[in-house]
Amino acid sequence: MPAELFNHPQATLALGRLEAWLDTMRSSRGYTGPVAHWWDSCLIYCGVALDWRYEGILIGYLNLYRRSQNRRWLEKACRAGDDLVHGQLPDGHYWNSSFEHNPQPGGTPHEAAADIGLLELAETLKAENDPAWRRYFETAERNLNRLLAVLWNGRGFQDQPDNPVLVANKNATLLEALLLYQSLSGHDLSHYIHGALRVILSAQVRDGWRAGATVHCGTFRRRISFGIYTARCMSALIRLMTVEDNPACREFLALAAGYLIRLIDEHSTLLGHYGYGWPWRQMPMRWVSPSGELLRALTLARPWVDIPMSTLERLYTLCWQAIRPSGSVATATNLAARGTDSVPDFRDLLPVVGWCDKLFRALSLFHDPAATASLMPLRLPCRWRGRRGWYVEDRECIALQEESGEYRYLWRKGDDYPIIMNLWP
Amino acid sequence: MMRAELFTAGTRLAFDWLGMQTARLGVGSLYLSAPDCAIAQAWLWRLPQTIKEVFVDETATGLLLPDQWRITVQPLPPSHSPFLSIYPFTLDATNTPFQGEHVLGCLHNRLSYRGLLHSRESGRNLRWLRQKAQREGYNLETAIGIYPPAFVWRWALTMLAARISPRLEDYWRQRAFEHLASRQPFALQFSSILAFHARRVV
Repeated sequence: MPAELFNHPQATLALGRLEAWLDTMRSSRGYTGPVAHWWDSCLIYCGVALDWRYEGILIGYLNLYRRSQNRRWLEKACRAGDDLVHGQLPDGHYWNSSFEHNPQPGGTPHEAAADIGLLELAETLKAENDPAWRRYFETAERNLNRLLAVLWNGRGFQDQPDNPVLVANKNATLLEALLLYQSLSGHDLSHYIHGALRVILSAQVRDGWRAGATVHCGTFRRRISFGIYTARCMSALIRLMTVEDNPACREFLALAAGYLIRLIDEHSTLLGHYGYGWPWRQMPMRWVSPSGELLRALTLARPWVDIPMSTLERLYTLCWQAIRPSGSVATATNLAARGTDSVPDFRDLLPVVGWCDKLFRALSLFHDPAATASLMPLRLPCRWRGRRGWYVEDRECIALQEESGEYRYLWRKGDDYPIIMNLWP
Repeated sequence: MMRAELFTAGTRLAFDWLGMQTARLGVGSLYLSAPDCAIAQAWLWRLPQTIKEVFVDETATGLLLPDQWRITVQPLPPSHSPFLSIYPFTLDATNTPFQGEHVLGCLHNRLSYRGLLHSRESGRNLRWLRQKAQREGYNLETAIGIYPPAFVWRWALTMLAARISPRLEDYWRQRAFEHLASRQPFALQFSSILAFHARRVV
């Protein structure tokens, strides 16, 4: 744990706010909330979704517990684990695990990511001789068996059962889950693990202007490379390197770290690049909360790659400074507006549990949250389809209000659907 | 009959809208009448937490829900009159009579660009829906049109932009999806999918 690296007092307060905010997003069945994403947004269904948000939340709490031995964090991790146990479907998939494509189960890499969280929880409990570890382990096992049955095609893990594209970051997430499962179960899964590894290594751009980037093969002709997906591939290889040293992985990490460093600016990280289209190859959007994934990957890569401390500190600072007084974190800049206006779009400002968990997990590597953090209401200018309005948030709700005072969107936290949804003409 | 493509943005939006209307009614049970199991299951992912009991047709079998949430799924007893009925694309091929105080549903509209392309396969439109509701003692409370003309021309530009630059393509794709649905009267007439809420007239 890189606890000795950075420990800014304001950052502990910010992390405390973020942790308290996560609690405001819960219903009795789990973490809720709308989703804004590059691919698509899910603004109507806001109910419980058992997707990759559980990876960051579970491991974030486990990081806090491992450092402080405070049982409160372990209880919160178990509560999140129970959401997955209770929400598992009879066929092994999880309830609404498709994030931006929710509501539907079978989301990739979301289910495998949730398994990583569950297996880390099981590992922690097993080390303490707590018999509860078995229920989390068995839930993840049922899901992984299902994923192996429907996604493995002999060369790697497909995007979906009916989509044969091999996507590197999805293989990376499965690789991580399988490494953990292998360690806990004693089963030899090296065939699958090395298949997934080949997919990851083959998706990296080796030279040229975006050397180190991992190409998302599902974007076909556009050959887009995303920073966050490159970071997730790094995380998988870092976990693999702790088990077996591999020169190809070492080389991959060095190149990928170089690419990620080039994406960092003062307040955010660049989303990525198109494979062609000069002079507009740089994507016009920037990540805010998902930048946590870059911070985590670069921090954990330090034993294998020389990462300048000034760069890491810049990224750490932008991550904690992004946490707003309400405890939430904006998703992006220009994600939805796509470079057309200086006023952020509603979806840019919208906090998403499945992105904020990335920041929570990354910052939990460094220090504990402050215990006294209080959440403040938030009101920020934004726009929707060219019309100016206000992004409004407090402990109870998230809303888009027009300048006239009329609400266009109003979601009460924990609910399945917004009370007001007038985003269309 | 035009087949419902379950994973397209339009179908997902229609189902989400039906889920949202269901949540607003705050009921504890409902009757789901879908043309096949896949559509019934796709809609069930939208089930609000208040629902503890789902009645289905005899043909709907093997529907998945988490065991531990204890939601019962059973065939609709002949004597039972549901308060809320859901018809996701059921009316595309059948003229099933509405049941219950509230009716939510969606259907493919013949008077859309897609309906005209499949003219021999789809015979429903807004006028037909209004007449059916009136005939059976219901009032059409609200409706939305999905894939309205405002979406279609922006989507055409997206396709064109894809030939020039991926960044331009993404820009127009975003603009198109901001107009994926509409409640304007003109858009309702010519949208590819209509989603509606009808209420029994007292």
